[in-house]
Amino acid sequence: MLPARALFYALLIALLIAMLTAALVALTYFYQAELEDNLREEQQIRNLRSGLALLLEDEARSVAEQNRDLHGQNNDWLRLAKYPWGLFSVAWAETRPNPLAPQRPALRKIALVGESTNRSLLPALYLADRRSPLALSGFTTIRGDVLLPQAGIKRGYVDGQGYLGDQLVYGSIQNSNSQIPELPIDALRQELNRLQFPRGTPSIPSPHYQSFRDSTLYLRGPSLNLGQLDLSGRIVIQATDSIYVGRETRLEDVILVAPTILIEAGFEGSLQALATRKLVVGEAAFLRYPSVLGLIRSEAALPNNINFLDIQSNAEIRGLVFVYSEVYSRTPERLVIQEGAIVKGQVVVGGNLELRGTVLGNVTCSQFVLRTPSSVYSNHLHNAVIARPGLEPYYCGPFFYNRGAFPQKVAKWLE
Amino acid sequence: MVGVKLKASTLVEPLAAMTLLMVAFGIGMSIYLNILSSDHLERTSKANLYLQQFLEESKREGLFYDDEKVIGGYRLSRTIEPAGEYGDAYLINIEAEDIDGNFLHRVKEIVYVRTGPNETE
Repeated sequence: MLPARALFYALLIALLIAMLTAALVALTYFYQAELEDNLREEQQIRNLRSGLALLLEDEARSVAEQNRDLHGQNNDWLRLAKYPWGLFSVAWAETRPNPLAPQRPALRKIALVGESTNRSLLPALYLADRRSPLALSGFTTIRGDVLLPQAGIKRGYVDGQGYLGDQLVYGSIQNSNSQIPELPIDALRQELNRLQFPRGTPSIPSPHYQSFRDSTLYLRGPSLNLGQLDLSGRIVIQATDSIYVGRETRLEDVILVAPTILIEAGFEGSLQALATRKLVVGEAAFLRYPSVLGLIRSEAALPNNINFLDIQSNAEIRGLVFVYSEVYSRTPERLVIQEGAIVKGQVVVGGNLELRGTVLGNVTCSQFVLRTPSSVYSNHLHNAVIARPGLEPYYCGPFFYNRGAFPQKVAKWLE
Repeated sequence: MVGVKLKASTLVEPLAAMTLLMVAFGIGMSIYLNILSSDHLERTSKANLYLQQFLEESKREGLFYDDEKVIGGYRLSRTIEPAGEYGDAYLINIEAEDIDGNFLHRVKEIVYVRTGPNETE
């Protein structure tokens, strides 16, 4: 006999309904908790941006590490700092771990910071007034405003070839001074001294990424061949004699310091290379933005040596290329930009510039030289291109000119 | 069905069972609906989208002044205060309320607005 027991089944169904309700309530609770967590995380990301904004507002290149309650309500705490990294600075901001979700790591934003540039500071060309005019020949093109010697600009002939353009300069012309704008020599010297750390490890396991939140890692030796090393982050590679960067080497955001730095043809990466004697960038090498190539002739270098920075054909550099001397010499240091090579950014030369390639951005130099098999021409440009409009308005240069005069900007997000 | 016998129940038993089910279902649904109706978060998250939109627009367009507007049934009010130590950073504070004036959510961000001489290209 089957008992009806309606009350028993009703209790069973009531229990099911209770369980279902409990499940729905729990689901809603977790949904709310997740939503609250997301809103909190979004505010933390805004706080990181706020922290970096405060660091950019501070004109100094370094700001000591500090804890900061952003809005004074004890729940927007950040840790902030800024420190120099070569000719740029690194700014970082980090949140405190979320007490409601301690398993989650703290949020962090790290940026490579430089100085914004502008049209008045960065004309297409600034050629110091050495009482000699600038002569153009071949397919040479200058686009943008220029500052030239009082002697002006004229059509020239090199190897029997005259100027083939319609107009000498596609932009305004003003007079320059006898010297190029003053370079921040003291600051550069300080930076070089700071980078020449007396201790360092002779080798680093590869690949290695050193976070910009950690301390600097120094790779040091008398003469270093980087071979197939894959290094990125807060690493300074320094040699007392030379550094050889191979085609297979992978470098990202690192700094190289040595008397001689040789970058093999076909290399690709992003770096700041500071040499005191010789710096050569091989054919078709590609240095990504923001890179810096600097030849700094110091008192330590032999005075009679010819110091030069050579960018070989079809190489491309995005960033700053500069050459200057701390000491007077009868054989001025020089920068050679070979045919087909492109520099997108700034070129600043305290000595002679032999420009056969293209500069999309700004050229500042004391004098042009042009060597041909038959002769050496002074202040001549042959088949060279200087185009200021080729530089993106978002370009952010390193701290080179007028420290503090222009707002700081993020050049690259590192983490 | 010849051999099967169902034991009859009284009228009271199914009535009690039905009442019990109705009560259980009613209590369950009322708890759940009560939780849903008291939930600010759905409105908060929707308001958050409008707040973010307003914040991004303020930064992109450089709208660094106090303002108020109504979007999607939410009243958004933006206030700007100086922040930082050098006068080039501002705190953008945007609050959302519903039409009845109940506070829902707020977003805050400090922005750096300094431009150099002849900055524009």
